[in-house]
Amino acid sequence: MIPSKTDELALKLKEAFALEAQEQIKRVCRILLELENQPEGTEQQQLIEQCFRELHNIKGSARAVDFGSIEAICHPMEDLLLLMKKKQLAPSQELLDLLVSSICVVEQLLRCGEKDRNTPVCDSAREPLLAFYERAQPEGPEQAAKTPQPSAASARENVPQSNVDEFESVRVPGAKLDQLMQQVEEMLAVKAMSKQQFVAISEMRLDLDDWSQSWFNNNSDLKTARFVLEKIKAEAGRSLQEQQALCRLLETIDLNSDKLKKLISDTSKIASLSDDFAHSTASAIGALSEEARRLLLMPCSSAFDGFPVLVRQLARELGKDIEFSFSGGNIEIDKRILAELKDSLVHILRNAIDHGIETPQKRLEAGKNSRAKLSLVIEHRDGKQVELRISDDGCGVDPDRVSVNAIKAGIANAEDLSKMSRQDICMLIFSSSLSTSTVITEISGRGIGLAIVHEKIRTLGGRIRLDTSCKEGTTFTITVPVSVATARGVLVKVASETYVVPTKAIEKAIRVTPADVSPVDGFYTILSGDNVVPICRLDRVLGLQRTENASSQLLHVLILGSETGRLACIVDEVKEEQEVLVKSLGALLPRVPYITGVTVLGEGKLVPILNVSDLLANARLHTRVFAEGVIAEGAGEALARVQPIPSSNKRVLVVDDTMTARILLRNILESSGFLTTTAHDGEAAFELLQKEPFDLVVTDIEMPNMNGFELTKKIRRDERLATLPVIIVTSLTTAEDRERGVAAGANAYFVKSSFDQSNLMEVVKTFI
Amino acid sequence: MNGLELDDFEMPEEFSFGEPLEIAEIPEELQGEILQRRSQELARPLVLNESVEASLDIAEFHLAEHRFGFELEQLKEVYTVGERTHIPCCPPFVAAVINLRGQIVTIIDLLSLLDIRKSDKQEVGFDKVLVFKHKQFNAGIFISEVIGARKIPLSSIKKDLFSSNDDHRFTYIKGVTKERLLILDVFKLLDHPKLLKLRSVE
Repeated sequence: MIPSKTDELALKLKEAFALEAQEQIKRVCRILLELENQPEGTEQQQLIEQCFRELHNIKGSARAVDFGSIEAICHPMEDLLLLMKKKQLAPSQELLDLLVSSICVVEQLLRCGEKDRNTPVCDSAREPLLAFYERAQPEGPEQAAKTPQPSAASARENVPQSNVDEFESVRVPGAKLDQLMQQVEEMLAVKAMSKQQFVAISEMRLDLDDWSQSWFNNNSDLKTARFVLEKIKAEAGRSLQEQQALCRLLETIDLNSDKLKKLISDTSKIASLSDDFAHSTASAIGALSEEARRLLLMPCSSAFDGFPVLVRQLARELGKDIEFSFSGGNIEIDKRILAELKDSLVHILRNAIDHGIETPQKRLEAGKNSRAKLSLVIEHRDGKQVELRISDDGCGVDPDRVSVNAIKAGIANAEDLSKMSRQDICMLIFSSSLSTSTVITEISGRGIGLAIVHEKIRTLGGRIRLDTSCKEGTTFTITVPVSVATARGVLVKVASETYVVPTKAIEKAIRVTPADVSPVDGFYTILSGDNVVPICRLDRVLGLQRTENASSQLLHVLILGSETGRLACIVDEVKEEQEVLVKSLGALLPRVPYITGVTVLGEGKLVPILNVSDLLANARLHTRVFAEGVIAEGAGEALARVQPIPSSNKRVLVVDDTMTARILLRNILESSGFLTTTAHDGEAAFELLQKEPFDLVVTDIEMPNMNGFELTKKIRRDERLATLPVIIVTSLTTAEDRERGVAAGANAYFVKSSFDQSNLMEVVKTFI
Repeated sequence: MNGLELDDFEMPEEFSFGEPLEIAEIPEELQGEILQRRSQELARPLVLNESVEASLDIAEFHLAEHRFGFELEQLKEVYTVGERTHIPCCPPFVAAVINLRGQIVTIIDLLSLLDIRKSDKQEVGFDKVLVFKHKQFNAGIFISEVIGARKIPLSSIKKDLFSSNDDHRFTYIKGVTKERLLILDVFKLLDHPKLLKLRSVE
């Protein structure tokens, strides 16, 4: 059925209402919360007036689009505000609580699209409002008499910000902005191309110059030749044909000289045009992307407006008394960064309310004010960075508890921990293996883990710091860039392929001799300044065909670094640096180990961009596995002590459903000389076991189709395979799981979080 | 018509007209008629009973020594690849990514995906890809050569060869023709468990 014109209009109206009402509701919430802390006076009156207007508008629009339920609730709310406006009713805590919870109901109704006013939800929201109104009215005149006149002192000029912007701004759907930004970023390719073009033309001009030089250098020879030719032409006995041919030859020589001159001058013109073009393109595109980037800047309040209500509701639920303050909402940040930050901030706020802040009673016992303070402060660090601080005055993070759990999760041992500062121990809560363990579920409750918060902020190019003490509470300090900068990258050659390494991850590019590489505690390192940095071969890390460049005794090394550590990577060649536009690999390849995406070079070629955090995360592993080739080449005294890879023809089957784990395990095993085959689940593994002989199975537990326990059981039941050693490698750490593993018939049970390959190799070697 | 010669007219005894005739004596209109009749008798339809039977437009391609067919309708384009980029640390059936007019398209090595060739080594030298659009993403398959497109009757596609006893692994095979041409359902192929798994990594 084709919708009629009026239907269409109604639909559009509804969409517009939904969008508009959302913002109005947000504003009402903000005003109500402000009223809570606002002393009586002109400002209070202004807020009441504003709130009244907003509610009135919501009610009006709701009626226009037949949203009976919202209208029914807004109406009594408006009445109450009218009383307040007339000063017949004071904005008591009770009243504000009622209004906030009512507007929350309105928001819910809007979200679920429930329009019917005759529903229990609607009735139960209306009832207390009407009751309050009933109670308030007869007292009206009295109340009014009590209300003191606003004092002049509090009459400061303070026009609420949202009103100023409203008329000068245009509403644009965020998705359109994103599209625009994407288009603008595509222009970087144009910029690169125009530069490429200039380079190509310049090269052509140089060639032409060479040509013309050799041509005109022989000018005197030409003259002589011409003279001789003329003479020959004049000689008697030459046929007319011969004479004509000679004439033409002379003409051609002249023509070529002229053409060459013209070609050179034309090429010069094109070269200079192309130069201008490249420059003006670069500056125009620069300006365009700068403007586009500014377009994406949004005040923090646009994303974080809901926080006060969120804090308030959560505090009520958990029986905590919290005063939340939020400042710096007008500071602008790229909306893409804001969107990424929001979840992280919500998570930290929830942590603070749930676990950081104590109940009022406990606070009193600890000698604190029963009302806790929680704040979000946003400040500019410098022009390009913004700092967000979430502070509470709760009980802080207990380093002892973190220690206990860190040991349990296997990310640190007691000895290491004893050497760490309390601060450093607390930072362990960002560690991913810890956050998956029970501890973190204790500290974090719902939402995303702190490890994900950490990762998210790091990918945004930001940092997060934790300061905590049991007296002063906890402060999370997050620093993020204001806008998403165009990434720059260095082109490197590895195994005759080109890759991009993000410039911001590169500390320096150096050259070392193989003798500079030395083994420390089982892995290979070099010195970079005063730092001992583990070193690896990038071609091995990426599993590329090995290139032997025995000729060069100097190794090209990039020192990569982030807060989590450093890693030196050996590459074949370090080429130029340039702007790179990161493009994702598309829906088929959402996540590839060590690769973030691709970028398009000037000539249209795609080049993979390396994922430095992946590299760093696996740094220790690589240095042992992948540096060996280098060592062999530069065999020095110290290096001779390194044990050679034992050659073995033992066959190991690795079963894991994640590719990264398969690659890692295979690399570990292969570097120790085992022949390794991989399977992606138990079913595939069992099939392989039927076909080929293996000496050992290393399997994960959680896998689709057939999990590790089932696989183990199946192997034990099979007559031929019954004695095959099986090692279970897993992140499941409970005693129960371990027992299940043993019950299934596993020979060893290896916990992933304590995944140190030397341990694994020891276990493997005890079986084969 | 040019290719035909009127040789037969030199042997008048075989001619169906009563009296022997000289070649020159056959009237021109008659010549045309004879030729037309003969061509009709000799002509054989490319597809039998085309008008009656439901058929499928398929395109056929070579990949190394193998031949595959697929439904023409599913094809977005055939593209000749200039530069391809190998992505490390991917399963062997991910052959490369290419820049298709600004779009990044993943190219699949069909032989590896279907375990026809077991080795992890990648075949090089293919420069043509078939590009398909499926569920909002583009994917390509490296091929050696496109053979051509044609109609084949649905009845000649045998379907029950692989899908017996509830084996869902081969749902991407539409069937096999008498000439042993394997007809693929490319969209189902792009939902191959291996590819689904690749796509679902967080």
